[in-house]
Amino acid sequence: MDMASTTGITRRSLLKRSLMTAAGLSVAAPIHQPVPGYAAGAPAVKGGTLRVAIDSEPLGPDPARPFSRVDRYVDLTIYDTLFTFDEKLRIQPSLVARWETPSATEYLWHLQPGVRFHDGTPFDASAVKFNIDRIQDPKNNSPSRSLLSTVAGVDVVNPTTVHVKLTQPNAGLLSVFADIPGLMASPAAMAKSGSDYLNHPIGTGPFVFGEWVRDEHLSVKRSPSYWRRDPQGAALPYLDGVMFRAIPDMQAKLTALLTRQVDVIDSMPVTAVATVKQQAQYVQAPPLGYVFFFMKVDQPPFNDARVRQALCWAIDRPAIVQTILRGTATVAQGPLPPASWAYDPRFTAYTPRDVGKARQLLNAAGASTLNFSFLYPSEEPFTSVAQVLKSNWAEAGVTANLQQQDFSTLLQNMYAGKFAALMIDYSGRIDPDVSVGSFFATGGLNNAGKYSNPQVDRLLAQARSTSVTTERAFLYREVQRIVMHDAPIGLIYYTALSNGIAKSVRGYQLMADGTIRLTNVWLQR
Amino acid sequence: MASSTHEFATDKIGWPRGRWLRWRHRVPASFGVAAVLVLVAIGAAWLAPYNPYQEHVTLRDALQPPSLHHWLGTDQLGRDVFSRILFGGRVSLGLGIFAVSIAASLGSASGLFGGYRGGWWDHALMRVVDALQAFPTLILAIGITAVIGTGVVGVTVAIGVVTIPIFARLARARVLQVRTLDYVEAAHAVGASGVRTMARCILPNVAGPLIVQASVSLSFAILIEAGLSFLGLGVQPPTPSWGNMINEGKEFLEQAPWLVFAPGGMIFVTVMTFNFLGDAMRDRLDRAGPA
Amino acid sequence: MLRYVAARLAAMVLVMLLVSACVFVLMRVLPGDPVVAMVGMMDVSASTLAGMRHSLGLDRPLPVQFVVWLGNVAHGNLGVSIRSREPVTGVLLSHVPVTLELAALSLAVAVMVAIPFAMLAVRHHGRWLDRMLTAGSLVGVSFPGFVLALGLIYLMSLRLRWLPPTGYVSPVDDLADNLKLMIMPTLTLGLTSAGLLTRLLRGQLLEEISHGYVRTARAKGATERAIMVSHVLRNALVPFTTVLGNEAGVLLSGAVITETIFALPGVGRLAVENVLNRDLPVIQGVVLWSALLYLSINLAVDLIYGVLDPRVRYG
Repeated sequence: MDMASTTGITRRSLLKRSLMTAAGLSVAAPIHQPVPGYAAGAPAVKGGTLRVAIDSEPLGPDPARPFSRVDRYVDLTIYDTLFTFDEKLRIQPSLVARWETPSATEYLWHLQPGVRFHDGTPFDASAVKFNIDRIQDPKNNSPSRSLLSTVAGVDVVNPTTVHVKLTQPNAGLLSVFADIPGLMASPAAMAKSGSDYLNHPIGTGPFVFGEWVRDEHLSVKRSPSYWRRDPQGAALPYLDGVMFRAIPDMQAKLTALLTRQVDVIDSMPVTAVATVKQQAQYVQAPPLGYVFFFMKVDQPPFNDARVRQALCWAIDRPAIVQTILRGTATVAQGPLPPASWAYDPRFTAYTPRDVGKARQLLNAAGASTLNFSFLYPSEEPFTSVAQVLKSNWAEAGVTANLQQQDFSTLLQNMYAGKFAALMIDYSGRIDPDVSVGSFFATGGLNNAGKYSNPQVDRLLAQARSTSVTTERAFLYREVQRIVMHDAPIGLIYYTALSNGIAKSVRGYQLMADGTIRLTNVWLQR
Repeated sequence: MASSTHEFATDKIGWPRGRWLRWRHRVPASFGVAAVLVLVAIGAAWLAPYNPYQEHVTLRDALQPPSLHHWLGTDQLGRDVFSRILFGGRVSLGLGIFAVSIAASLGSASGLFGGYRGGWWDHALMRVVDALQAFPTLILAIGITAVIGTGVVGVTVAIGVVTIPIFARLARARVLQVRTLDYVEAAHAVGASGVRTMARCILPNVAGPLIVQASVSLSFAILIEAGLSFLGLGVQPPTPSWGNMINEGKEFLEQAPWLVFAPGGMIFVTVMTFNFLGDAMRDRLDRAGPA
Repeated sequence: MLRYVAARLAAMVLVMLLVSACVFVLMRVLPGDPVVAMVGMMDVSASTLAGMRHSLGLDRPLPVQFVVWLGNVAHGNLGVSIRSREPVTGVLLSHVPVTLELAALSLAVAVMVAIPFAMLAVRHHGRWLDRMLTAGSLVGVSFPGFVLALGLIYLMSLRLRWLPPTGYVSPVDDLADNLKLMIMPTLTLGLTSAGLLTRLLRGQLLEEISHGYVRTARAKGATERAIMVSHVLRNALVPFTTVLGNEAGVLLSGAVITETIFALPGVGRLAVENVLNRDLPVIQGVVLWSALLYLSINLAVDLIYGVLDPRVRYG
């Protein structure tokens, strides 16, 4: 069923029909649904432990606690999310088997029946309510609370049906439940373990928590009774277990893969891609995040749009992408990344580079001797990128005083608005309501530069209240056009997460949001 | 990095004496090498074949192996590594010299004072020194740079502070030794003031070991700078220092090992030179005997 | 003697207090806080951040936090890690053995290299072997540890494929694997210490040999071997112990960079990561541990000094 065709909207959108499957439709799902994106190939072999090297120690498998990128890796082995998404970032059923939208501010979620937590307790509507309430309870101080601010309440209709009421229409909400806030933990286990829950997390996921020796490893074992089956009806997952281990040093991590000490590495030096391709397998997710810099829009010198535009015109993004990133990234044209269903491949901004134009704009703004401090994290590739930006800007007569800061200092300055310009990366979110909305809406969660444009606010609100994907895509592209002109942020390149995996690993999926799905992975002997 | 170099003061070397290098010329010889290093650092602007900040951000120019044009190759931004080594030397050495000067003056002043005055003052100062030394070196340095900022100034102060204790201890130990000597007692007896006694009688006696220690501490300072940079908390790029050159280069270890090993080699040579100089000066002092 | 030890212990407590207060002040002036370090760039509102800070007690005045913490420490409670929610005591107990093993192995390597090398050098004093060994020890001391570590990984793991580059396995689980993983970190740290100790011991031995009692012993017809071992080495070991103690102190407070490169879950890596994450209770724990260790080793060395050299008196 394709609701977009019934609305009669015509537009210049180049979106393929396949992109038009709307989020927010009832989708009948089989009991044993295959994992989205499953590609049938050679018959899978059961057994073996997958050893995964991650950047840093996880913060811990609790859906309501703060999390970092590596937590998604771990969490998705132990837990399932309410929803999931496919490679085009369209929302797909998961623990919620199908759903209805009785009105713009209501959802009825029909849960996958017969699912049990690893502790034997049933996964039901009250468990869903428990988990969402837990994030929303101010006492728990969950960082995800802000993302659920449009959820007015969750009611149990019957054991397999949940009624969700919203304060206002929010087309992006389901995508939030396809991420960490949608992980379903066992209420019984939480009650039982209390403050020690991090050492006894219980979910419904393909793997059962094993042990977590801090700074050594975190291991999970195959769940004997996982509810999903592969297309042949065989039990999933194939692996006996997964072992996560933090290796902070990039070079050491690469060496660990090449010497078969680990099977998966979650990042690698850009110059190592060729080596990894040759001696292992290189997988890259579709680009979803970006590296960019905020400018403080409410203060001189960046309260003048011409100054911001000048900085954007002056930077040589292709050179950065080709030389520093060795082609592992692509030039960012706008805040809608290629992985998104709202991506517009024809859209460009500040392309090609034009130093003359930058000078003109600066002169017009009376800022021909612009001088500002530029904050960025003290790690690669930011340090290299910052140095190129500095000399790019110098060609336009602009002086950037580089100041590298460790991450916590930088973040605090960002949240406190204590900066003139600040470079950081954003991993991106699967729905533009979060990834675009939070950056450009007045008072948005990630709007650190204090940008405000009523027209953008209106468009974003409109995009949020319609559930038709094509219409939303149109609106977000309009937002993209305006904000790239206003230039409250300077986009540099789209980041695509890349993993190195051993040659024996099969069925490996790296999703755009950086998660890996290990349910279908198997090891060739 | 085991920052184990900071207890050098207690270490007596006694280099082998032989004809393979005229040992009585060791001090001038190692001093000469050190002087060359310093002069090269000062003259970096005239000696460097390229502008160390000039980037050539193209695939053709970046990460070039050593060649006739670029003696030590180019880095990931296409900058000439040899030129950056020269300029980096200016930063690493300058920073080290500055830091050690701070540490030597503050450390030995408090050591002299504590040792001379004794009693409560001595106790208080020594507890502070204990506390400074009880901190893990690199942690203290990280804390200080995080507060002051990771610029040249922050790094210099951090290295200075962590180097203070050794000077304080050394100066104090010497003072305690010297204080009981006849002529100091005599100076006291004829009514010389404390400051005068310290300046006239004690300082010259303490100066020798302190200078030796300064030479050794300089190598320690260069290693700490490299360590801080290795953790991304050292001197800010694009300003080159040997430490941050290694830090920037370590991601390219496989493709461009010269990015790590060229500045690494310079650190090694410099540290060795100053250690050697320290040894040589110490031996000469030892032979001259205590005053 | 007892009074001396008691006075030293009192001074130790004083220094530890001073150190803890310094850490508190340092963390106060340090920009960044554990909450932003945890949430990162993650669509969080200011009020949520404030709520998280409040629930952790981070919005209380610093002196209050310090006094509360001191009270807890007095009851043997080091607090709970902000980031991992684990008791700090437990965190320390899981990281200390790694550092302990690494330090013990490195010191063992250092001593096993230093004593024979120094004795060989002295025996061949002034000849080419002496020069080689002396120059070699200077090289050991001057070599930047992380360049050595990267070089070892490059050669032993990447090129020769002899050793696994990173990781840690507890010796209780698998001793062979544990030792294999410890080889490179041990060499990195051990060789630097070996250089230092060789230089020191050689100098001390030469000084001892020049003393009169060696000539007397020789005159009495004692063998060179007996003189070296029972007189010269014994006396030279006194200052050697001091430096050895210091080395132990440095190594036990964690070899930050070595532990980072080889991904060893030791105290050094724990310290750096928690400084970067601003996890104050853990930093306090680590610093207290290092300070305690440093001061006790100093005390122990001074006491051993007395045993090895009866001339030393405790005043």
